[in-house]
Amino acid sequence: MSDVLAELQALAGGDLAAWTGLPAGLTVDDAARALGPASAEASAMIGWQLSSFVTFAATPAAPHGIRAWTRLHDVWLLEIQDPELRAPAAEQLGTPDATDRSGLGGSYRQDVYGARGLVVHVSNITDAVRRLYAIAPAPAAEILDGPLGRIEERRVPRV
Amino acid sequence: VGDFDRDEGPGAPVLAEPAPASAAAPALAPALLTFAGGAAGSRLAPARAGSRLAPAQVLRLQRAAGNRAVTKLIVARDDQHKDTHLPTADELAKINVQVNPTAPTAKGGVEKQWDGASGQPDFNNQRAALKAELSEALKNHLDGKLPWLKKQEAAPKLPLANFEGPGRAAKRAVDARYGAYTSAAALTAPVVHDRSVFAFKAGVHLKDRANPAHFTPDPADVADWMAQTDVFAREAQKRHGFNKDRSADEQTFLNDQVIKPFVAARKHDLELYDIYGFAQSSPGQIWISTALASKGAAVAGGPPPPAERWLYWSTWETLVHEYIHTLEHPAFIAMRGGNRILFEGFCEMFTEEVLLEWIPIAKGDKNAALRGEVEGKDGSGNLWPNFEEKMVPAYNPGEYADYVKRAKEIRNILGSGGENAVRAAFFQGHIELIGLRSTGKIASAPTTSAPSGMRFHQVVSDPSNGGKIETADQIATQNGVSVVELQSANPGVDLNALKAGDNVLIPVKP
Repeated sequence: MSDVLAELQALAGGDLAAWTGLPAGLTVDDAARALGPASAEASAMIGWQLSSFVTFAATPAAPHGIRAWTRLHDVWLLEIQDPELRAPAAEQLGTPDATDRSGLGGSYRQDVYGARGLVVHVSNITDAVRRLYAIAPAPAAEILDGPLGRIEERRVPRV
Repeated sequence: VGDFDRDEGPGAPVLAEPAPASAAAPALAPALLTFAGGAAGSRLAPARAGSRLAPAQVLRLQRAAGNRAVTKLIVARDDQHKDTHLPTADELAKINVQVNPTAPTAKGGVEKQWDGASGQPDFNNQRAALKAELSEALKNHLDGKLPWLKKQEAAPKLPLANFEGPGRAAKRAVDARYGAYTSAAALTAPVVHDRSVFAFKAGVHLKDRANPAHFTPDPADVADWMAQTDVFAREAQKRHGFNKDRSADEQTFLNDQVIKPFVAARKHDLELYDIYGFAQSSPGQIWISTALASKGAAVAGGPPPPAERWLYWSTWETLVHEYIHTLEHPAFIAMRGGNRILFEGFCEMFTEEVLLEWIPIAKGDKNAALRGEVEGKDGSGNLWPNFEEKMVPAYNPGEYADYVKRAKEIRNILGSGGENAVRAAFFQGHIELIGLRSTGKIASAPTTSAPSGMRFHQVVSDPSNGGKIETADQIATQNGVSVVELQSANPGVDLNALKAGDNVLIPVKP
């Protein structure tokens, strides 16, 4: 468990190189040991499906906090918006197993590191990471076939 | 589920009781087959005639099994699948056209190449020309928006919590119309749990684009969006045969020669545009700007200005759509994949049904509970005065218009049972009733028909989280029969051992 906690803390600090994938059976309480107290539980849509989640407090590398998506209290996905990584994702992780279009907008792509259990949505223009997802390791095709392949946001003009 | 305000609501529907954990029909069936008693005072539909049970027998059963349990076993409810059927070959063919519209016919000819591609004549000058034209288009686009954006930046911001009321109102309106369908659906425990804790909450599902804790603007993405949508930028690309999605060379040109220099020169203005110029939505949540720069300023203690009230009503309408997304059955989700007609078209079709029911009531100021929830109230708990009909936007499907048209066409193809079929498919996972397989492909026409006076019900499962099969009570509820009637129509069938895809017979009532 200490390895898992160390990996979680590294992830929350923008260090992706140490991450080996979300372990099965990780509970919110386990994650809280590494990330601090969790918020109250709520639910929202993620990749077209409803799921519960809790949020851990923001860190310098996770300015909007860390959202832990849960299934009956087990964490199945970690999400960090606009992470401030210690080094560019490609530098930390190397070549992705797969690259696909991102549903976040036309200027992004998603890079899938299946063996590490990481998916990063990256700007094609600035290389900044817009969204970071950490899950259990799985083949890239399997990951893209699931909820993480369906992450989507729509920009709606007001003026 | 809940309804709005049953005394004032527009024909508030009868809502079914939540599904029980299990049904004990087989053991009780013989004694219950003759019951005809109503459920006075209950929210269930009245029992249908045809069977009789003495009041004393009912009382004994109620004491033994509990009132709710007995009611579920012996009282028939509204038939949610009334007039539905497995689509015929002709209907399937028509549905297929709507679900999988044929790609536009190719006009022929050779695709125009980028005149700035290496090897094209004069390609360096063409690149320079395109760069200048695109940069000019982006500059003019942003300059045109900037005065309004700066007004928004300086304007007072509304508390994000003010938008929770429209969220609650949206949820109530949707639950009132479809709650009976969703509560009779087979769902795994995690899905039931996730739905039970769902509410539109500020900072969770409602986010403020002007709040750095909620949103980080991305000037490069806005500039890219402008390059793809501005009419002059699009014309310039068309003239030059340019398509950034066609090759790495074209994408690199756009990013390095146009977007990056523009972002470097106008970073702050682009951030303002990203924050105040857009809302953003994903299923079940929205990011909005709460800035309100309008001519009608609020008076202390007085009603919010009309523009603010319009914003609340507009948000209510948006959240009806976003909430309906959360009610999509996992079997429907798994089937439809990324098909926008089934994903957004069906969701917006139900949104339209809800809004066409409630917008006239809202515009006519005929439901105080609704208005109080959406607009808020004064310090004494009274509705704000000076309501005007124009504060409630008219229904508009916007970018979903074509998807909705096709979804409604599918409903119409299925005849008098079409409405129930699309609801059963979307909210309960009965995709067979709209002629689709779990793969999203069109089904084959049925080869067998049910005996006279009966129809088939195909057992559905929630495929998520390890799966959950429909219970006998859920099947009975969906089909407007009692569990006893269901068991009677299927003698010898163990209703507690059904599998997904099994067919059971439903007695059809006149």
